[in-house]
Formats: sequence, structure tokens, C-alpha cells
Amino acid sequence: MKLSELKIGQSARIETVGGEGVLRQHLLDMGMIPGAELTLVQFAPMGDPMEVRIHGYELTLRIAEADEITVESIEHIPANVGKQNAEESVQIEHPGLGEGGHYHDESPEAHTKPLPAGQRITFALAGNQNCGKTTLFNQLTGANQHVGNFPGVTVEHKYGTIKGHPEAQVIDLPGIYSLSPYTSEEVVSRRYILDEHPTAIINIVDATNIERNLYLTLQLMELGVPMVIALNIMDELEANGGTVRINKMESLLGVPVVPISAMKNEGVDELIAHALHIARYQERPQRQDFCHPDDHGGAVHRCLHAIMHLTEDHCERANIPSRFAACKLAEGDKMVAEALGLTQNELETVEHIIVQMEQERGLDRQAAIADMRFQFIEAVTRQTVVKPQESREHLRSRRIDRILTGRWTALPSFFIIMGLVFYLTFNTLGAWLQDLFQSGIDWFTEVSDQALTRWDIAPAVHSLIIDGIYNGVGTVLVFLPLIVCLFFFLSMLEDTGYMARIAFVTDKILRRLGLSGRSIVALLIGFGCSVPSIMASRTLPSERDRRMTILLTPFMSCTAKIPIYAFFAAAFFPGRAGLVMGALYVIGIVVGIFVALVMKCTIFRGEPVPFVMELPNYRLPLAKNVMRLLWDKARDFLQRAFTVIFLASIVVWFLQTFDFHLQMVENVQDSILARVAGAVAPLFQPLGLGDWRIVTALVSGFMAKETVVSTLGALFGDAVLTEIFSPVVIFGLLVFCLLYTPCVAAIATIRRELGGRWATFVVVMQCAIAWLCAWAVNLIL
Amino acid sequence: MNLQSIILLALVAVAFLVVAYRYVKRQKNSRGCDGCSCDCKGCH
Repeated sequence: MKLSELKIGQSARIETVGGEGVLRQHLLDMGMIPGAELTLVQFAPMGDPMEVRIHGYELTLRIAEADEITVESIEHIPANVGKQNAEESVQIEHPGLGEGGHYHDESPEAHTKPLPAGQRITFALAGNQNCGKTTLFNQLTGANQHVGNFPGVTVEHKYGTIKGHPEAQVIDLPGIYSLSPYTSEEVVSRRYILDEHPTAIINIVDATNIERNLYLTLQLMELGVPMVIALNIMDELEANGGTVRINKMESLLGVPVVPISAMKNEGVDELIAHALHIARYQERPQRQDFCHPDDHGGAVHRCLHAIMHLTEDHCERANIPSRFAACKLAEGDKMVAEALGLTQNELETVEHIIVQMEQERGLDRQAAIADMRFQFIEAVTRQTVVKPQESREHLRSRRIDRILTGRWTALPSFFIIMGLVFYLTFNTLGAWLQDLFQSGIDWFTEVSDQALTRWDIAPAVHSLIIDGIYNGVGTVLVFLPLIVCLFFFLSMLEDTGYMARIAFVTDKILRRLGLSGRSIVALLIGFGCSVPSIMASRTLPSERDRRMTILLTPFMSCTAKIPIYAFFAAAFFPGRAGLVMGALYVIGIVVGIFVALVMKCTIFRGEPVPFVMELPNYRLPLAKNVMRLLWDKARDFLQRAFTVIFLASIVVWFLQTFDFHLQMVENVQDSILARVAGAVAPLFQPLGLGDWRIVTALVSGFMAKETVVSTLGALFGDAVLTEIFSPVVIFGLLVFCLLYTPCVAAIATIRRELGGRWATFVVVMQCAIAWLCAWAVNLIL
Repeated sequence: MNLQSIILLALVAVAFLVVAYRYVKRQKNSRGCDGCSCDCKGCH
């Protein structure tokens, strides 16, 4: 039967895994191998995708992918309640790998020639997604990188120096499940490890999900780079009655294994000591061979060793470890085959060897290699891991998921939660804090104004300080609480683990627009800031989905536009400000959907890539992390207010106060700004926005959206805007601001991710759409 | 223009130049992605 035909709660054993290419490889890497047992947990509200429990964790995949997998129904997989998985064995003395006085590498240069004292040591921090790498990175380096509870928070390398060891640098790599490149972030990690040659690897393994995590560990060990395993989340494992026989695991794997809890900073000092030792003495993994001559007649074993011998000379020349190269060639990895530069004859010989192995083993090449690794892992975990009871965290997650991903409750919950986020931000908590902030700024401006008058400051300088700087910076500063609030709620969604559920629940809807469920995460982050949102699109496994998501991100109204909406909504739509702001967010989403549909039928034809994702347990975010995030957001905003907005305020004040002969003008209409902006104004005449001051504000918004408000504040001064513009024209202006070109930081990020042509395309497309929509508003209302 | 006005104007001018210099320098170092309310310190 097909996997998609299973009933909820039914268990099955995988018989075959169909499909092809990188997706199939990814499914195998995630543990969907023939022989593996799984249980169907649930379907998403619209019947697709589905969630299965395999190797002790939850994985989501679409029905179309599940159709490619055949299974045979089995009795219910017994829960691991108190199951003593570890085989009883005699006490094993600690092998002492990676410890002073124990030199396990027999090669003489290993312990006679340690790296010279003071030589720079580089550690690559590698592990699966969402296993706590960034938490450990923060503990090791004292950095403040954002930590999330969503697979793929880290999308770029992050560098740091280990506290107290200035010579030791750590690189936090994006999370990967295997060294087979599936997503662009996995390519980033793989390239770093293979091309940059770090001195050693710190492999972080989630102790609550050892089987799947060790799959990457084995591939890292094949690279022959000195390595230490940090067994993270040991506190949770032990709290639920599980444990790991560290000595046994260390001796079986041949690398130091250090149990830690990165979140509680337990075991981290010991980890550093081991890591420094193996790096200085270049102690490589004692074991790199995971195939067994007796396994199914030794088909895989003979195949891999034959390829190793055949390609040894090429591996040496290409500086690629031969064991790693043999496994990748056997899996059909084209990147490795090209890097080795094998001759046609050698390629054909390799192919013959693999075909022979497939016939003997009864599995195709990819499945056979994945099976070989999981067989070894199973043997290791059987001897070393005492499985815990179902953890409190998992039980809690299952209960919460009954509501948040339930068939009838998932979508209403999503809308209620998102509605609550925006209501609390704009109507209650955020608005109250904003009023408080406004009073403080007003008081400070008043006091400063009186002081300048008392000190008899010249009118021009007085105007510069109050009308230029205070008015410009102050108008924007007042929105700090709203922005921090929205970021706070968005990060709570991510840190608790709900963001991954949103992806699961909305996948089917997004697929109709040509996107994958994973895109929703990048798009939701776009409500905070477009820059991290564009970066987050790297977690998408296909270039098509990534491009499409990036192009749609600017339609999600970022927090920098909040000051514009709030400024005009309060003046022109009193009592209905919340409604107007809500309408703007909806318009952004609707126009985004329309553009997505057009793109799907034109430049991005084809189907979105499959949706294979891990669902993490719900976790309560740490107060320390939340406070750190809030402070980061507030600091970033303040930095922005006192740099780009401060500069823009002074420049705008200067241009509107002086004419081309640098004489102070009596009438602002004679200023430099009025003359220049007046030339562009006719373009905006059809929108009812032909006023040069509006045009100036819109142009300044290209630097940062908040400057639109500060510029308007400086240009209109005490003028009553409601007497100059009608509410319809202002609504058109708000729609234009919502949709026109993203700020320079977002454009720069798009350029970096997709190239200059796409960045130019975004600017032109957004401006054109904004103009058309604002024009339509004027026409309709 | 009296002395206190000149001092104040000079202070604003110096602040403007320092902030502008640092802003342009950071923009160059961070390939344009700077000053945004985002997490991407990795690219800074």
C-alpha cells in the first residue's frame, strides 16, 4: 500500500522509496529508508500535507511525495516508555578521546607535532537544523545571535571567538541533515567544510533524537577532520528517564563525546577543553568505515572499498577524503564526481561497481548507502542509548497541536493568533506605550525650545534644531514601541515553534499560488523587516520558490511603514485608524497574491518543490532571549533614527530653507527642494499627489521608510494636513507607500541574493504596481 | 549671530559629518545592508 493510504494512528514499515533526484536523497537522509517504521500522526486541515512520526521525530511531507512511498502495515509501534534500549554491557573505562595525556592517533606527527602555540584554530559548528547550534555558539562566544525554534534560523556563517581563547574562532554554520546538498543553506555548510578546511569540527547532536542526528555525524567523520561531538539537550533526555552511555558511544564512534546542555551552559567548558585538544593535536576520528563485510553479503562494503581504491589518486589531487568521495560517488553526487575529474573509463568502472552492488544488495544506490549508515547508527544506539519515556515537551506539543493543527481548528486558530498579534500591537499594548513615548518626546522638545529661546539662539539655528532635527527624528522615534511590539510577537511565534505549524497548515493554500508552505515563514517575517525575510528564503530548497518568495516579500508591509500609516490614519481617519491600517495590510497581501498568480503563469511556471520539514516541539522562549531580542530591535531602530533619519532631517531642512543662491527663503516655495521636487511632481498628479512636498517625502523613503514621515513633518510644519488633502487622496498615498520600492537595505539584500537585474526588476515592478493601485484607489473611491 | 549660536551650529555640523562618515563607511563595509531593523548581523 501507499504511505498516503495509511489511517491516522496506523503504523507501517517502509518497503520502497520512489521518486528521484535530490528530493529522494533528502527523504532518505531524513531516515525514510526501506525497513524504517513510522506512524501517521495527522493530515493538515485541508488534507495535505501529512505528518508522520519516524525515528522519534515528526516529519511533514505532501501526499504527492507519500504516494511514491510504499509501506506494509504493521502492529502499533510500541511507545518507548522506559524502554531500556541499551544492551547490558560491562562497565567501559572512559576512552579519554580528546583529553590530555591520551593520544589515540597512532601517527607519530599527531602527538609529537601539535599545532604551534598561538596558531589560529578554526572550528566549524555543524549539526542538524534546530538542534541548538546557535545557542551553543552564543555560549561559546558570548555573542547575542538570535535563537529560534524553527528549522533554519541560521542561513549564513556567523563568526565568533571562544571566550578566553582568542586564538580559537567558531563558525556557526546553517543546520544540515546530510552532506548531500538539498537547500542553498546546506550547500553553504558543505562548501565551508570541504573548501575552507576548518581545523576541527564541533558536531552538535540533539540527544533527544540521536538516530537522525548521527546520520550527519557519520558523514562528517568520513571527512577525516578532527571532531568532537557535543551531545546537546542531555538535561531533557535525562529528565524524561533516558540516558546515553557516553564511554561506550565514544569508543564505538572513535571521537570524543561530551554531554552538554547549551541552554543551561552545562558541560560547555569540558567541550571547549576537548575541542581545543583535538584541534591542537589534530586527533582525527578513529573510525571512518561504517560498512560491514557481513552485511547482506558485504555488497556495500565491497563497492565502497573498490571505489576508494580506484579513485585514491584523484582524491589526493582534489584534496577530498577518499572514504567521503567513495560514498558520494556511490550515491550519485555529481558535484563530487566533477571535482575528482575522473576519466570516462574510471566513471564507467565506478558505474559497473555500483550496479553490481545494487543487484547484490537488492536496493538502489542511494537507499543502499543510507541503509548502511542507519544500520551502523542502529547498532550504536542499541548499545548506548536508553530511550526516554515520551518527553513532557512532546506530550505538551501533541496536546497543543490537537488545537493548533487540528482539522477544524487550525485555520481559525491561525487567524485568531495573527489578529491578536496585530490588535495588541496597534490597539492596546503598543498604542499605550506609544502615547507614553509621545508625551516624553513632546516634553523634551518643549524644554529644549524654551532653552534655545532663553539663550537667544539665532532663528536659523533655532529652526535647524527644533524644526529640522527634533521634528524629523522625534516624529519617527515615537513609533519605537509599535515596532518593538510587533517584532516581539513575531519572534514569539517563531521561538515557541508555532511558525513551523503555520507552514504545515498553509502549505496547500500556498501551493495554489505556486509557493511552498515554507515560504509563509519568510513572508511572515516580512511583516517585521524585509531584510531578514529575504535572508530567510534561503531555507527554501528550490531556486524557483526562493526567487518567487523574495519578489513577494516587499508586499508584506514591514514595520518601517507603520509610522506612515499611523501618522496619516490618526489625522485623516480618527476613530477608524485601526481599520485603515488593517485594510492596508490586507491590500498588501491581496496584491501579493495577485502578483504571485501572475508570476506562476508567466515567469515562474512549474510546480513548487516538495514540502519535507521537521516539526519541532513547542518550547517556552527564555526570558533572557526575549529581552535580548527586544533590546536588539530597539537599539537597531534608535541607531537608524540617529543616523539615516538624523542626516535626512538636516538635509531636508537645509534644502527647504535655502534657495539656489544659498539665501534663506521667506517662502518655502522658492527653496531648492520645492524647485527640484516640483519637476517630478506631475508624475503623481493623476494620483492627486502632485504636491512637491509629498514627492520629496516619497523620494526620501527610498533610504528608509520612516523618513517619509520625518520629511513630511519638516515640510508641512504646523500646516493642517486635513485642509490640504482629502481622505481619498491620503488613502491613495498610503497604498502607494505600502507598495512602492522597498528601502535601500532591502534592495541591497535582494541584489546580493538574486543579482542586480532582479533587484532592478523589483524596484521598477513595485513602483509601477504602487502607482497603478494608488490610481485605482482614486478612481474607485 | 551670537557666540552660543555659532557653537551650537558647529556642534550640529560636527555631529552631521561624523554620523555621515560613519554611515557611509558602514554601508560600504556591509554591502548596503545596514541600519535596517533586522537580525542579519552575520552580513554586517
